[in-house]
Amino acid sequence: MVRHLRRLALWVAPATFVAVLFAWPMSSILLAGFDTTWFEVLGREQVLNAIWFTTWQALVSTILCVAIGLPIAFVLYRRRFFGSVFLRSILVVPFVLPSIVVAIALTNLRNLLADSTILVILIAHLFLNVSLVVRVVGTAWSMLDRETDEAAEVDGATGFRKFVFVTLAQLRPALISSAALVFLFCATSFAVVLTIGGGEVQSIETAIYVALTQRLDLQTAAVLAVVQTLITVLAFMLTRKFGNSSFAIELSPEAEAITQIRRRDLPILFFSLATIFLLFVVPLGALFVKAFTKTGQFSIAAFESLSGYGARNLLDITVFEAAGNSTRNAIVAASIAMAVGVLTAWLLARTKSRWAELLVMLPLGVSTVVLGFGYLLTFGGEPLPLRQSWLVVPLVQALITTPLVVRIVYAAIASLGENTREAAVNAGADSWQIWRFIETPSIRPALATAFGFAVLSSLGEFGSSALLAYSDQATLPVVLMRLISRPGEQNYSMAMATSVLLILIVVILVSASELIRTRRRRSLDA
Amino acid sequence: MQKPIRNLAILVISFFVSSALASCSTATETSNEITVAVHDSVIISDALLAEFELQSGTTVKIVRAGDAGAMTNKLVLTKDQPIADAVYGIDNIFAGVAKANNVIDGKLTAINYGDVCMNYDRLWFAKNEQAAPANIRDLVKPEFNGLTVVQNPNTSSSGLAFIAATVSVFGQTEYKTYWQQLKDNNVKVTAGWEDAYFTDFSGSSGKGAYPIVLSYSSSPAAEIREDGLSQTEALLDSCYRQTEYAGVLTKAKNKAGAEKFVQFLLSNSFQSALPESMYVYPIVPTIALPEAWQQFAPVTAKPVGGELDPNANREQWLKAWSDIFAG
Repeated sequence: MVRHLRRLALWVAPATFVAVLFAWPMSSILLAGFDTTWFEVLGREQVLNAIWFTTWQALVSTILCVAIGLPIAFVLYRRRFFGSVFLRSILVVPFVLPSIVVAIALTNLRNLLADSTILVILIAHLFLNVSLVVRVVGTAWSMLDRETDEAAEVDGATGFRKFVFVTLAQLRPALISSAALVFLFCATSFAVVLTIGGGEVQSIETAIYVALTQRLDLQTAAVLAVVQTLITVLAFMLTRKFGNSSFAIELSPEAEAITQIRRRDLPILFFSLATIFLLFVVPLGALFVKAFTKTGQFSIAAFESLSGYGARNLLDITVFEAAGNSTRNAIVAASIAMAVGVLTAWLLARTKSRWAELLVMLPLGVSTVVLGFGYLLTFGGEPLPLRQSWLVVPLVQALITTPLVVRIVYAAIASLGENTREAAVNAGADSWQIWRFIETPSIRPALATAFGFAVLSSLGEFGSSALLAYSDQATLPVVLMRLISRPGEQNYSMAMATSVLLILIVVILVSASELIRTRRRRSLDA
Repeated sequence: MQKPIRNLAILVISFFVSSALASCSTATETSNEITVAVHDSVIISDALLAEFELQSGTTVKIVRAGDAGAMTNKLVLTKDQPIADAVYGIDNIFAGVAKANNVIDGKLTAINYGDVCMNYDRLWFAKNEQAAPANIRDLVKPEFNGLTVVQNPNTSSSGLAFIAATVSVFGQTEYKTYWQQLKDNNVKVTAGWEDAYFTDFSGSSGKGAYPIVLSYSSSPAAEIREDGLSQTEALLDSCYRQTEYAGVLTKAKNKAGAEKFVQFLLSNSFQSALPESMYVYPIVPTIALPEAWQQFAPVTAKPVGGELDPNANREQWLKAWSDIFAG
């Protein structure tokens, strides 16, 4: 009984967090747009088309990400070869790039497929989100015991059957978790659909954007936001149904599980490397070329100009100052998201409350445009004049990132299985001891992955940074957007240089964390 | 169990501290400070802000609120607890929305204007030994098939401006025929100006594939090459003039300061900075344009579409446009 009360008390933190930062602003904007025309709005052909397009493209994008992410996860996390750490970090880069830069990076592809913008949108979603599948599934995969594979082999389960019945079954929590995240990201994908679709392809999110920012049509926006929430709830219930694994994973230290490339891995290795090259190296390389070129020749002039304010003092602050703001926001947002997210995941693993899980997942599946307008309405004055503070940006980012942390960490705790925990309880350990000495060490890679994604998604996040940006609080994506909204070579090349800077930050951060992890592992082996 | 509770306490405390911090920052807003809402493309240099502060004793905080449409709509939504004291950058399309919703105290004051025009890449036409277009009627001719990129009027104010231009040039119903012909001639549509100008236009640093783009009459001044000439040129025959306004918000906390700021926007120092900083023309006619502008970005003698009410016609234009391009 006492334990239950304590647990209930712990729920206060995540519940307050979601209620204040999410439920309150969302309900005020929805109420502002509430009236009796809702059903009429829902029946409009444009609205129905937007709902249909959103759903099917998110499904197809998710299937693409899983289908292409799985072999890459295998190659990068289950096999060891020169450069694999670097490739792991490259995959994450698009996650932080502003959509206009993604659009520029994919220029060649867009010209090639000029007649099928929808195909380009799907590929852009793959470009942006495949890293989620690769990292989340890869991390889980790297911890699978090799002996399970081998035991299955001895039993005569070979090749495909072994993969489906043994490996996939064990990877299921990670797979479903990452697929759910990808689905929600693609369902609420906004800037990419708007930019690549030329404003002609309408998804729920772009329809909301046009309704709110161009027409002040609160009714349409509110109806669409409600539909979006329903889609999130539906997606969530499906993942709940299929995601909970009854298989306990036999975990082993990473080093044992990872082996050198073998001959029979070659086809899958070739496929993965070719995909990474075409989908990532070529587009990102194009950005480097643009950043290092001035009037057709190699030049670093664009980088030298980053400490300035752009041609004709376009910027309020320098790119380096913006990088400082971004870093500060990322650290604050990721810390809050980790604190709330890990606590929630820990609680979820014990209570298994479906409703609680749904509530913390909701912010991910909802329009940032609606949320932004909700903030304007709600936090203008007393009791919480958050609108005027720089904290509003990292807080929104934390809100959007927390579900990501919860999913990744919860999947890891869930895949530990009940057996270990029960054994520890029988041995007299309390919850805290189990967490501290058994769970934390086992899920450390997942914690690192979650923190990494929290930092990265804050670094690249544009929606809330653009919400109400006080001019001295601009972040890197905001500055980049400003640079690219003016004609002239200097601003354009500065924008490209800023993109390259973002890419380098990501590659260095991710590679460094991978190397530290690898080194720690080796020292454990020794 | 002890530690999570302590962590929780820290979390809750830090949350309240942060909210307290947030309230502090508003409490410090005194009568000597104003907040000015601007759209994303407005640029006011530190030097100009310092000049205003010296003159008026009022410090200025700038808040960016999206494009002109998003900014106006945010002002309408928050008009009881406004996000600023003054606003700068509401254009003639959204001025009607601001007025109808009583967002502005008194009148809107015109500060600057810009002309939305077709631009073409001179070098591209020279290299391909083809005559450049002379006016927007040329763009539907076969020789210009697949060469033009424009912005979607649903998501871009320059796109909407160009519809107004075509309504004025071709007439209340005939403009639809023109758009159908443009579409048949494989015009490309982008969501925003940035993508059209930098990804698709061949005359910009993005070196795209389309030599004709919907942009501004001032853009050629930004594309001057080493030979001292601009690589691009604007078609000045059918430009739509976008005027941008400033005003004091109805529920502003510091109306006196806001009013002073609006007056400052009409001062010589602010007006003469406009072409260089924002690529727009100053509203005060006595201000001289920079030399490069006189040569490459002259003011359009006869803009079109000034007789139309963009706010009243917007829905109808957008619907006609969407019917053509969705089909």
